[in-house]
Amino acid sequence: MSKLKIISILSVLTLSACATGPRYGGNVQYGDEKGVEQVTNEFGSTDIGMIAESMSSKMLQFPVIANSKTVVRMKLDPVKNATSEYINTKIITDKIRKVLINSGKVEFAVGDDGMQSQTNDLRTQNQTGLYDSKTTAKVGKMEAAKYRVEGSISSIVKRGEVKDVWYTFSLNLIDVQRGVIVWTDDKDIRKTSGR
Amino acid sequence: MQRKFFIRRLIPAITLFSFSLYSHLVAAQQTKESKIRRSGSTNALKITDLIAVKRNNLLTVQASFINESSSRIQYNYRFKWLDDSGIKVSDDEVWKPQSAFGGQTFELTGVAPTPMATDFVIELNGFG
Repeated sequence: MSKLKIISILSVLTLSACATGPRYGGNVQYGDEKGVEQVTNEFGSTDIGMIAESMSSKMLQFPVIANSKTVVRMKLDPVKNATSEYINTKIITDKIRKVLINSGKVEFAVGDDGMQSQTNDLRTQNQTGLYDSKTTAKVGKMEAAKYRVEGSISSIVKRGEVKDVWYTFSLNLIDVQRGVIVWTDDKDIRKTSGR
Repeated sequence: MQRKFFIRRLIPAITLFSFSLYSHLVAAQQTKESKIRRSGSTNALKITDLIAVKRNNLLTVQASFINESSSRIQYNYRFKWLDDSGIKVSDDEVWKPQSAFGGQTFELTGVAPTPMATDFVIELNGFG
């Protein structure tokens, strides 16, 4: 067999090995995304999950929502972070919203962060002349939220022989027309670790 | 004579009643236990009561437990929500870390995230 043939066969084998699917080895491992995360005692994925599940299930039991014959429309404000840590609070609000919407009892009006895209869409559909007017969304038909959801997360950190962190997440439901808080609840989490 | 006859009949009746009560209690315990999926060391966590009701169209469950050991047990738990055919109707919940002191009684409560849930399983994972 000529050298050229051997090189060609080896090249084909190498390329086909590169193209095949799963490969094993290395240091990467996939874990249980719902598992308890205890790497450090800073705010983590388990805390986010526990807060979102607890707060959404408590809100769904609030009689105004639970006994409503129609879907309750809300607006969700960003959660205020009053802890000393950086926390991406959008993950918490996204998870709460997901559970509430999936319950079939709540829907959400576009919030402040999505309003620009919403008005852009309406303007594009109605003012550019690009769309068939029979299919465009009409201006002035947006439905307003009856309630606004506001939340905040705070913490108290104590350092002694151990580090103790206490988080409290509170959520308020406000009747927009009356400007009254009609429901409030919280979820506390305590985490302790060696220093 | 009549008294002896009465006692002779009463003893089997009591025995039968006790046996049927015992069987009923064992069956009830087995039914409760069938709703628990255990992993790790959770044998000391014994289920004592289980209530499941539809409240506001959402299945609400409260399971009462007792830690029968004398030491603190750390465990994780979560609810799995199922439909009539046993298929999951929502994503898995996060595992929630908890602990129970020796002899402590405690309740685990869960509210189904969707009206589609008609059944449930409680997953318990013990460690430490």
